[in-house]
Amino acid sequence: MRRQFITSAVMLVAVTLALGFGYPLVVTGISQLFFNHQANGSLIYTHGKLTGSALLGQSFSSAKGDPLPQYFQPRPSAAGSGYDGASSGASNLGPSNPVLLNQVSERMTAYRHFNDLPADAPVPVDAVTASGSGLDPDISVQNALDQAPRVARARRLPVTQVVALVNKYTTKSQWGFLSEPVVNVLELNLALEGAR
Amino acid sequence: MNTLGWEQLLFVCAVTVILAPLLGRYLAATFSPGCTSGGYGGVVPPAGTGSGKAPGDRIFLPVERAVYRVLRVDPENSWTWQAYAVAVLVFGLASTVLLYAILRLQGVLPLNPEHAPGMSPNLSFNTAISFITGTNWQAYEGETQASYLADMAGLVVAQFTAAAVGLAVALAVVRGIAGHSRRIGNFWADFTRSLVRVFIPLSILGALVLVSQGAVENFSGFRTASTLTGGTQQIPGGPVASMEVIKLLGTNGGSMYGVGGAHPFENPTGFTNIFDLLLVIVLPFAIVFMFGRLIGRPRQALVIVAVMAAIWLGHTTIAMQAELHGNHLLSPGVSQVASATNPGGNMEGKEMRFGPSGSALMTVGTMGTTAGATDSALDSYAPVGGTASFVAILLGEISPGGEGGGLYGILVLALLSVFVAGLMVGRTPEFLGKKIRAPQMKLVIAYVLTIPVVVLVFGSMSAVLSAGTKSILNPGMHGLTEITYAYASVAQNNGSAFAGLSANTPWYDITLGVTMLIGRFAPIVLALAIAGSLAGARVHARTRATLDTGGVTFAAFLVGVIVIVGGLIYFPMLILGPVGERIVG
Repeated sequence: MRRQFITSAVMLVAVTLALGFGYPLVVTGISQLFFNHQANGSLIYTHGKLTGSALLGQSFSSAKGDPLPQYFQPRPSAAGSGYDGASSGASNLGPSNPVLLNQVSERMTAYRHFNDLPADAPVPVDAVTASGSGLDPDISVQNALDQAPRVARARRLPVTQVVALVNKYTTKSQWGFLSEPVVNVLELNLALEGAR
Repeated sequence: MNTLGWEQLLFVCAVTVILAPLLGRYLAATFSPGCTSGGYGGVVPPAGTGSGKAPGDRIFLPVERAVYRVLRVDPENSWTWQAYAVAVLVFGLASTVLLYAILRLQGVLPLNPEHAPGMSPNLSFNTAISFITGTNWQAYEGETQASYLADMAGLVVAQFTAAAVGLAVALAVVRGIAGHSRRIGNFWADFTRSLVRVFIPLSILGALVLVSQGAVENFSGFRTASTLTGGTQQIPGGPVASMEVIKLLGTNGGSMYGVGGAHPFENPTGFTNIFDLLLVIVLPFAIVFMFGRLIGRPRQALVIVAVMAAIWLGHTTIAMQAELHGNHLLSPGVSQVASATNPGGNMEGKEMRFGPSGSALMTVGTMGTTAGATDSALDSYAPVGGTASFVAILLGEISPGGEGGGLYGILVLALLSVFVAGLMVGRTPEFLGKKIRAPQMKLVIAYVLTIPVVVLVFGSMSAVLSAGTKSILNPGMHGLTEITYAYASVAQNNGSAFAGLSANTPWYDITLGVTMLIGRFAPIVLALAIAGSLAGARVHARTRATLDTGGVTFAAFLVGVIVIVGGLIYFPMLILGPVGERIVG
C-alpha cells in the first residue's frame, strides 16, 4: 500500500510535467507555427484594428440595445447580455417552458415588424431561437434573404445588390453534407460596409 | 430524417467500420506483443522489455523503460486482482488530492490571465472528483472560473489519466475472464503503455486537425475587439484544442469553455463536429475488436460490437428524427420545416452550422459513452430527443461505452445474460469456457444494482428537499428530469447535463461528488473482483451442450437483458419526467 502511494506520487509528477506542460506546449508550438491564423481565433482586422473573429457572432445594435436596420441581424443570444465572448451560454429553456414559448412569439412579432413582413409571413426558426453557444456566427440563408430588403432600404442600395452579397457570403455545406449552408453575419456586414 | 442527416450518419458508420477493426488490431498488438494470433493462452500481461515486438517499439519502448526506471516498477511482474484494485484506488486518491489542491490554489498560481480566484472547497471537491473519475461534470464556469494552469496541469492531466486507467482496467478484466493465470497484469505497465502508445500520439494528431479547422490554441487570454457598431467584444483564448481532443478521445467530456462543443472556438465546422464524434466512438469499438483478438475469438467481439452498434443507432437516430421534427409548442408562424434555405427543426440551443440533425447526431451519439460531449443544449431538446439521450445513459454506457468501461460494462452484462439464459434452458452457464457460479453472480448483481440505487436515492431526496428543488430552472415534469438526469449522468461518469439546473450549491456539489466516486470506483473494483474470481478457473472444452455466445441468438438475448435491466429499473422515473412531458405538453 505504502509502496503504491509512493509510485502514485512519482507518476503524478511525471504526468503533470509531460501532459500538463509538455503536451499543450508542443501542440501550441506546432499550431502557432503552421496554423497561426486559426490558432489565434481567426481574427478579423479592419484598418489595423481588431474587429472580431470570423468564428464568433457579435451584436449589431445601438448603444441602447435596439437592432440597427442597416446591418444584418444575428440570432438571439443567451451569452451574457448578448454575444458576450466572456460568458458563452445557451438559454437552457425546456421545450415546454412558457418563458421560451412567450419569448419566441414576441421575437416572431418583432421580426415581422422590423423587416416589414406581412402578419402571417413564416419566420425562420433560427431568427427566433437562441443558439447553443450564444456566439453563433451564422444565420440561415432564408433568414438573410428575409432581412435583405430592409437592409437595402436602410442603406439606399438596390435589393438585388444586397441579395447578391448574401449569395456571395453563403457558406456552402462542407464536403456537401457535413454542415448546413449558412451565412456568416459579421463577414456579410463587413462586405456591406465596403459596398457603400 | 433528411438527406443531410442520413449522409452524416452513413459517413460516421462507414468510417467507424473501417477504422475500429484496424485500431483494434493495433491495440491487440500493443497490449499482447507476440501473441496476436491468440487462443485463450494468448492473453499475457504486456511485457515492458521483452518477449514479443509491438508496433512502434523503436520510439515508444525507450520512453516506457525510462518511466519504469523512474517509478522503480518491474513491468513483467503480474499482480492478483486485489493488488491491481489497490493500485487503481491509491492512484485515484492521490490524483484527486493533487487536483483538489491545484483548484483551491489556482488564484495564487501562475498562468491565470483572467485572475480566476481559487475554487471554493465544495466546488473543488466536486470538480476534482469529476475529472479524476472521467465524468467531467462542470459546476464551474469554464471561461472565468478556471485558470489556464488549472485547465492544463490539472484537468487535462486528469483527462489523460482517467482514460488510461479505464483502458488498463479493461485489459486486466479481459485477462481475468479469458486467461489461464490467476494474475491479471501490472497496473503501472498497462497505464504507462496506454498513455505512451495510444492516448498521447492520437491526441497530438487530433489536436492539430482541430486547430487546422479553426479551434484555438494559444495563451493570450481575452483580446478586446472593437465591433462594427462601436461596442466591444471579449474574444477568449486558451490551449483549447489540446484539451478538446483528450476530452473526446478519453471519453471525458469537459471543455475549456462553458458550452463545450457548441462553442465555435472548440468545434468550428461541420467537419470538426463529425470528427469530434468519431474521436469519441471509434476507440471504444476498437477496444472490443482488441478483446476479440486477445481471446482469439473474433466472432465474440463481433457479437458485442453488433449489440453496441444496434443500441447506438437506436438512440442516435431517434434523437435526430425528433430534433429535426421541431418543437410543436412554438407559434405556428415559426417555420421549422427543413428547406434548401433553412435547416428548420428545434433550433433552440443549437448552432446553425450543425443544424438540428448534425447537433443531435453528435450530442446523442456520444451519450452511450462516458464522454457526454455535447454541441447543443440538451435542456432545450424536444422531449423525445432528450429521452433518447437519457436512455443511452441509463442503459449503462455500453453503446459503445467509455474507454475500457464500455468493454468491462458489457462483459458483466454478458455474464448476466449467460446466467439468465442458462436458467431458462437448464444448463450450467459458461462464458468463454469458464463456468459462472454463485460467487460471480453475486458480484454481477452488485455491479448492476449499485448505480441505480445511488441515482434513485439521491434523485428522490433532491426532488423533495428544498436544497434540491431550488436549483431547478424549468418548471413541472421537465424540472424532475433536470434532477434525475444529473444523478444518472454523473453516476455513469457521463457528465452531460440538462444545464438549466444550478448545480454549484453545497448540496449538489457534495452529493454529485459522492455519486461520481461510487459510480466510477465501485464498478471498477467489482469488475476486477469478477475477473479475479474467474482468473485461473478451468477452461472447459466446447461441447454440443455449450450455450453459443458468439451468434445472433445471444446478441438478441444480450440486447434484451440490457434493455430490461436498464429500462425497468428507471421506468417510473422516465414516466414522471420526459415521457410525461411529451404526453401532457
